[in-house]
Amino acid sequence: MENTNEHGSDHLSEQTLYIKGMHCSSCEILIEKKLLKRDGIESVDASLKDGEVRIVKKGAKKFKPYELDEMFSSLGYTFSTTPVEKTAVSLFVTDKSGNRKISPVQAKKLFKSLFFVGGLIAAFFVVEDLQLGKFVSINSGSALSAFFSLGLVAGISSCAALIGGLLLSLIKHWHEQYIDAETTIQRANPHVLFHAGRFTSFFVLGGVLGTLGDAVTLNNTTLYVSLVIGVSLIMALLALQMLNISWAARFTPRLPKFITRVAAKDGANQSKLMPFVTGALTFFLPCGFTLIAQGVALASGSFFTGAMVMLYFAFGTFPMLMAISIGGLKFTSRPHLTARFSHIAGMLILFFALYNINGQFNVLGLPSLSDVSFAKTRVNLNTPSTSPSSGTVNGEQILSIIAKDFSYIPTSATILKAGVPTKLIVDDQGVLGCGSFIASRGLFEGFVPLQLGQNIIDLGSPRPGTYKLTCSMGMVPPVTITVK
Amino acid sequence: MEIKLIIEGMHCDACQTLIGMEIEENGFEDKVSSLKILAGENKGVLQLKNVTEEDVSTVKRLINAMEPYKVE
Repeated sequence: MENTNEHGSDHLSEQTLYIKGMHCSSCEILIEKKLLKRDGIESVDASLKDGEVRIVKKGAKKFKPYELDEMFSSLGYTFSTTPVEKTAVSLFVTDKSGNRKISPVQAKKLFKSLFFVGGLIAAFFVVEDLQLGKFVSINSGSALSAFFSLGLVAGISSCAALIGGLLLSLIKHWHEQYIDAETTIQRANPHVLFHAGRFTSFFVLGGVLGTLGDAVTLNNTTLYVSLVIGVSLIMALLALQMLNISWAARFTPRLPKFITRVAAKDGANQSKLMPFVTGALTFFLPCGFTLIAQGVALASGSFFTGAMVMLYFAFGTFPMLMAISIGGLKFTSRPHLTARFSHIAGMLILFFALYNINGQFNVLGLPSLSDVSFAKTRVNLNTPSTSPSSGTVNGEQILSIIAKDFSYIPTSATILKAGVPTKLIVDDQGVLGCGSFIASRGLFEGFVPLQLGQNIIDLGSPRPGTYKLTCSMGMVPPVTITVK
Repeated sequence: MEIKLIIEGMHCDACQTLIGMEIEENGFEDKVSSLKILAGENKGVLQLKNVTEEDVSTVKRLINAMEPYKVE
């Protein structure tokens, strides 16, 4: 009979991990001493010169880099499965005389990655400009295939920035978590769980929306803005970890305990169920297209219809998300590509995170990068229009906007008088995506869903200030309204 | 008695942790008042309490056996 121990077997396995943060021989000795204190460790050899540690231990189970990151967090060492030299973003090297100078090799690598990421971002904006949403008409009577098409469009446009970016940012973490997986199928496990969680929650919660109907509203601006900014900040943190920024590596985002405690009984299962829980929670991320589908599910008044609407929408987003999963698995399974993947994905996620946060700044009416991009347009639009719907009618100010494609076009003056009863008239001529939910913090509460044709929104008597009119995601170029 | 020992070569958190571990592993954990780095001096200060002459020489021997630290 084979003699086994608590580590699974007497078989010895060797693992090499790469370390960032070592700077002297004391670091080597300290890492060796601390690791040797752990059960099952037979020998440890840390090398400052090579920036790595070789661990020989009983059993086949390997250390996950984040386990050692936690163990050495107070000392600032971070561990990875790829050589530090290959993943470092630093443009600088120290020459023999101790002077820091730009490394031509690193500069070339960085510019190559920047060029590639620039291409992807340009492609993202081109797809957005194509406004594919205009080919998908959705209402409560639409066939389920229409919601699949809506999901397809969502997957390659504004939702890509949020859900796609979130998925991309989790891939490196999952790769490290499943470092000892022997097959691609095992490594694909967190991806399968993520998508399964997404389908499950879209079906169940879509059904719940259908059942509750008008008893619930989807226009809590503060909640949605907080969610998107929170998720985007986590995405940015994970992106910085992928770009090998050492201070960022000390933080490991975790779901609140009250969620994971319910989901699992012990720590190991807890972290393994995280992808499912994360996928399920994407239901609450207010990508504009998701809100449209949720709005239809709400109006359906039926559990089954609501569930199927949301499930088909999730199916529609699946091809793009699956492509991200497959791409991630492919890159992370080849060590020489992992560093390149981390660079490119890190930059891309950082862009998506900033793009999302910028949008939420628009929703909040705060200054944003959109103010720079659209400053010129705004100046032209501030001149009073000759539109028949502009001006004052029966003592009320009228602010007129045409909502079309992916923009809001003012047809009246955007400078209003303070303290005068005002109405916003939005002529929806086929606005797309999140544009169907108009928001203007300070002028009116929450997100107002637009219907084709004229929509009248009572603004009361607005107070002096500068406000932004944009969509629920802040992605429609904002129109600035000045109240004097 | 109480005593302060200046440790040459102790320059970073790793040195501090390493020396601290070595002292604690040899049964002096209750006798260490403090162990600090003297910033920019490539030195550290170890303050011991309730120690005998023999304890002090044992601690010195332990530290001197560790490269590259020296204590007089």
